[in-house]
Amino acid sequence: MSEDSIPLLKLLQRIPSFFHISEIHLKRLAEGAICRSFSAGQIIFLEGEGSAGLWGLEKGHVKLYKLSPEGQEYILRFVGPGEAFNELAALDNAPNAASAMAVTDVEAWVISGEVFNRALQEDHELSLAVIQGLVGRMRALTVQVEDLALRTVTARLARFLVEQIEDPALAHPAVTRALIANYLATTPESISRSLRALEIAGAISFNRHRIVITDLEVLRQQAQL
Amino acid sequence: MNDMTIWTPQIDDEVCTGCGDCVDACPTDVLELFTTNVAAVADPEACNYCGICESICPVEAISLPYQIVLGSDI
Repeated sequence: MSEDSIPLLKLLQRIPSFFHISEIHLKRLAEGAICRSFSAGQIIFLEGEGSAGLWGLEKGHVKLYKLSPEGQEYILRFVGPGEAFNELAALDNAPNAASAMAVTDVEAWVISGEVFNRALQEDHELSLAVIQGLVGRMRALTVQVEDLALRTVTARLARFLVEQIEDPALAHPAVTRALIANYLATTPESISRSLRALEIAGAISFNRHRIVITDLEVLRQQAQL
Repeated sequence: MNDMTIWTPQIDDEVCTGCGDCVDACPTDVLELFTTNVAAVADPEACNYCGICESICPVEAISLPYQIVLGSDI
């Protein structure tokens, strides 16, 4: 194993579903991986292009998104340090299911689909871990669909704020109304109205550039959690 | 936006048309139209984060970045 891939091994060991995978199997996965750097705003890969492989995020934040024909962006997921993404295209070698863009400066590792699939064939524990990871993503997507179909913008916004506080990996260094709107499939104006509603409810307050969660319990009630 | 985000209005140079609406509307004279005919933050310390520039921009070129924090952490 090259010295270059040691940081990747440490990264893989941080991915929750990989916790119980033996080091020897993770080392195999780390071999042949390439470290890439991206500046904030740079596209990592595009939806519809040939499989970009499996990515593991070392530093920074990434958004996974889809664009409508009119250019409207919908953010599927934010990725933080220690998380993997683009598992689907790495598994089936089909085109990338979504686009990925660096939200901040990013350092990430990419493992080709070929290496990934070979490692899965050789190690059933790794396969199980990947399945568990995908099940977790599917559960999260189910919640996302439920949110979009059944919850108000204010409830969705409250849930977004709770997630930002409770999951440090997803905590953004900076969010804008437009970014939140693209994640919650609504407009910046709706986000402004919902922020005001949460402020009136006593869940949040504004302190210049800070959105301060003043009452997490009230925020959780607003999120219907 | 990089990790060292400056907490001031972020203006997308490629989207800004230089109409000057934000410059006229800013109550604390934070913004100016530069010679390149795009709006820019000239006095960041004067910004009180009122958000008027963001809401008045007709082409959505301006965004205010926010940090989400727990009240007990500040």
